[in-house]
Amino acid sequence: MGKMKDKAELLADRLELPSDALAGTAKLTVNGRRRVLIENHCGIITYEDTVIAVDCGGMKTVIRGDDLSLGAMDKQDMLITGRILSIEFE
Amino acid sequence: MKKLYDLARGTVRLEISGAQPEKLLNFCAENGIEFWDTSPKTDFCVQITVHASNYPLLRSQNGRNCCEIRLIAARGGKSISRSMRRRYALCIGMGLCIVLLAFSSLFVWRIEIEGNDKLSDGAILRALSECGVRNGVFWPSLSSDEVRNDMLMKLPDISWLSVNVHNSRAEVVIHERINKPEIVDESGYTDICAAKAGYITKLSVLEGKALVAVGDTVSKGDTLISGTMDSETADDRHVHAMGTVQARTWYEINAQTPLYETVKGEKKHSKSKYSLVFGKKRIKISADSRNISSSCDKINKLRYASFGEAFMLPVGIIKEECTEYELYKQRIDENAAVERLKQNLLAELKRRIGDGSIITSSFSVSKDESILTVTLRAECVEDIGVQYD
Repeated sequence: MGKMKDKAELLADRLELPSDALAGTAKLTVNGRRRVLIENHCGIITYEDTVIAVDCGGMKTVIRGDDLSLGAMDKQDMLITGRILSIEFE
Repeated sequence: MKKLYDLARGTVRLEISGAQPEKLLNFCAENGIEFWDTSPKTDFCVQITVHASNYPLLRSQNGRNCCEIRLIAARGGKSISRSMRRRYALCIGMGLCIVLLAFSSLFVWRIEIEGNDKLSDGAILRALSECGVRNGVFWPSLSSDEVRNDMLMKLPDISWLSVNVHNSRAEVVIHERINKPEIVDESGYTDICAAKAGYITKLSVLEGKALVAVGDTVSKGDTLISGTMDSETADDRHVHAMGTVQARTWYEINAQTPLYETVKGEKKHSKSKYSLVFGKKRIKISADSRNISSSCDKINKLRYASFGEAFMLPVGIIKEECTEYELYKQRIDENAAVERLKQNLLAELKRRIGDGSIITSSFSVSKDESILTVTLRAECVEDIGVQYD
């Protein structure tokens, strides 16, 4: 499954198409350092006020900061607010 | 509005505890359960708020995913309807209030005017009242076009207006007419005469015959440029005299102020009186409506009952605050008074000379027992010619 997704991403890169549309990869939109919108997520893994880890399909996105909270969340999108210090991909 | 909607649907505050309470958040997201006010995990506990209708589905997950769900608080929804079930009078009263509010919003209870500079609010309100726009009028029967036409007939100084009704508030937007500039009739016969006495320094004749020359001294009323022109071959020709006559003029203007003035002293005590307003009627509700003294400041504050901008009621309360003070005489600050009078004199001089300029000016100050007098003496250069039919 992971290999299929990698290939889909590679194909999207070659065709110069948005990979989130073709391969369904996660899309992160960061507004300043107060809001992060994650689209196409696969669920929340850790939810604390200093760290929020989100399953983004083939990778894990870890957002570190202060006073982090979940602004809104549905099946596809997730809005995280707070003072964001770093975003890591594992 | 969102809070009212949530209150009507009913909300529950839940505490999710377990090894991984995040799994229940994922469950909510996957099943389209809206949740908010999510507090981050502390001691393996997460608190969320969901609509009460979603609670049974979440409760079914209790014990699964290594999570336990505990109800902390419930608000609105069925709990309100249960508590209201036996309070018939309250329910009827609330329903009646809502109906009355909705009904009252069909009438105009407040008229706001904007865009007027020359015309006073009072004059516009009187004209609007004659056109049918007044407090208490049933606004669906108003026609904005008819009101506009009537108003334009009644107030010629208005070039355009619109009446916008927002529930009980009528907003009247006025555009005042800009006066046309005065057009000089060049076909008529006129002379140019001296408006003031002066010593002519420059003469520029565009039409007509100059009767004076540079260096002449003229008195007020003397003809400077005549509209009657000589002709060697025919009778005299009458034209519209035009030109400018620059002259040096001299002014002496006085301004006076009393040396003693009556000022307000310390405030003694204040008293507030209240009145209720129903439409245009005012009912005093304070027991003692007499003034505490003849020397008092009165501040009236009118406040209408309203629910935001949506509903405005014809009911209001007026707070009349009377603050008593003492009057006493004191000598004025002479330096400040002299400066103020100088400024006033200069302003008056500039008003008199119009586009002219001041060459020299000097002030002198004199005073007797009760009056301070400042005199301005100035030499100016200005156009002294005025048309005279």
